[in-house]
Amino acid sequence: MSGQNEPPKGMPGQGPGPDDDRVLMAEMDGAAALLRSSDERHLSDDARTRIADGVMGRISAARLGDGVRVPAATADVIAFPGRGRLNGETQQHSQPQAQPKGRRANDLVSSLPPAAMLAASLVLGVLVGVSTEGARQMTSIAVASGLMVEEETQAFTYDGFTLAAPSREEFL
Amino acid sequence: MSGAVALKNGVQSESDAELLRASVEGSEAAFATLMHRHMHVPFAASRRILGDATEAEDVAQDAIVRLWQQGEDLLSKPLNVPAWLRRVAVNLSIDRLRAGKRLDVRDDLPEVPVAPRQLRSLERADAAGRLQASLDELPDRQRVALTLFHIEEMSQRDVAEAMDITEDALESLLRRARKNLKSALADDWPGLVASFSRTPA
Repeated sequence: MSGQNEPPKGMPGQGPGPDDDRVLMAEMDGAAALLRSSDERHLSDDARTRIADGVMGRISAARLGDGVRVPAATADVIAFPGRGRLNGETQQHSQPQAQPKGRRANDLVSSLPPAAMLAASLVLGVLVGVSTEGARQMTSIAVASGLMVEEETQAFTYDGFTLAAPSREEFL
Repeated sequence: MSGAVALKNGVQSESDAELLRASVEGSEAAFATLMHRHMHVPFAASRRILGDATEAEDVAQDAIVRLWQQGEDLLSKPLNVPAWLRRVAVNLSIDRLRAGKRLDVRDDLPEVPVAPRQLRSLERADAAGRLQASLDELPDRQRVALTLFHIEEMSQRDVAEAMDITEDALESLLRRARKNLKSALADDWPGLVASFSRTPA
C-alpha cells in the first residue's frame, strides 16, 4: 500500500487528473486493505478440505520419492499390469481397474531416486505374489540393509552375495 | 491429517516459527496446523489474479507444498509465513497467466463493465463482497493490474514486467481500472470508502 505521506507509487510527478486519480489511488489502498482483511471468508470448508487433502497427498508422494519412508497405504494400491497384485486377496481389483493404477505406479517408479527405487523394485518385481505385509516388511529390511536389486534378473545382491529372488512357491 | 489431529496434539497455539520448526523435524500435526492457519492467504491472492477458484486451489496447494519443501531453508531467518505464501502464490499465478497467454486480450473498450442492475443483486452482500464482485467483473488485464499493484503491493516496475507491458501502459491501465471499478460500484463507492477507515490494519 502506498505510504500516507509520500506521493502515491506509480504516479511520479503527476498532478491530479480529471478524475482526481490521486484521490482514487488512496481510496484503492483502503479498498485493498478491506479485501485482504476479508480473505479468510472466501475459502469454503469444502475448498479447505480439497486443498489440505491435495497438499498431504503430494507430501506423501514426495516423501516416497525421497526414500524417507514408504507409506503403508502406498503398497496397497500399487499394481503392475500383467504381474498381478501384491496381495492376492485383492486380485480381483487388478483386472480391468488395475491398469490405470499400474500405469501410475510405473510413472511413479520411473521417477524415483535409488533408495525408493530399490524399495519399489523389491515390492513390485522380486516379491510379486507375496502378501502385502510380507513385502512391506522385507522392503523395510532391504532399505535399512542397503540391498541392491536387479529387477531384470529378479536377483538381489547383498554384501557380495547374489541371491535369486524367491519364487512365489518357494516363498510360500 | 486434519485440524482435529493438530488440535489433539496441542499445537494450535504455537507460533508459525515453532510450527515450521516442528514440521521440519517431522511433525505432520504441526504442518497441518500451519497449513490450515494460512491456506486462505495463497488461495485468495491467486483467486483475485486468476479469477478462478478451482485454479486458485491448485495454486494454494503448490504454495503450501513449497513451504513444506523449503521449510528447513526458511528457518534460517525470520519468516512471515502468510506473506511468504502470498508472494509464492502471486508468482505462481503470474506464471499461469503468462503460460496461458491470458493477458494478451485487449480490454480497452469496456469503460463501465458492470451495469448498475447487476450490482443491485449484490445489495445484501457486505462491503468486501461487493468490492470483490466488482473487481471480478473488470476485464482481465485491469483486474490483474489493480490486484498486483494495490492489493499485492508490487512495484509498478514489477507489475509491468509481470504483465509484459511498459510502465506507461501500466499507468494508463491502472487509471482506467480504478475509474471503472469506482463506476461499477456507483453509489456504493462513498459508503465503501467510509468503511475503509474501519478496516483493521
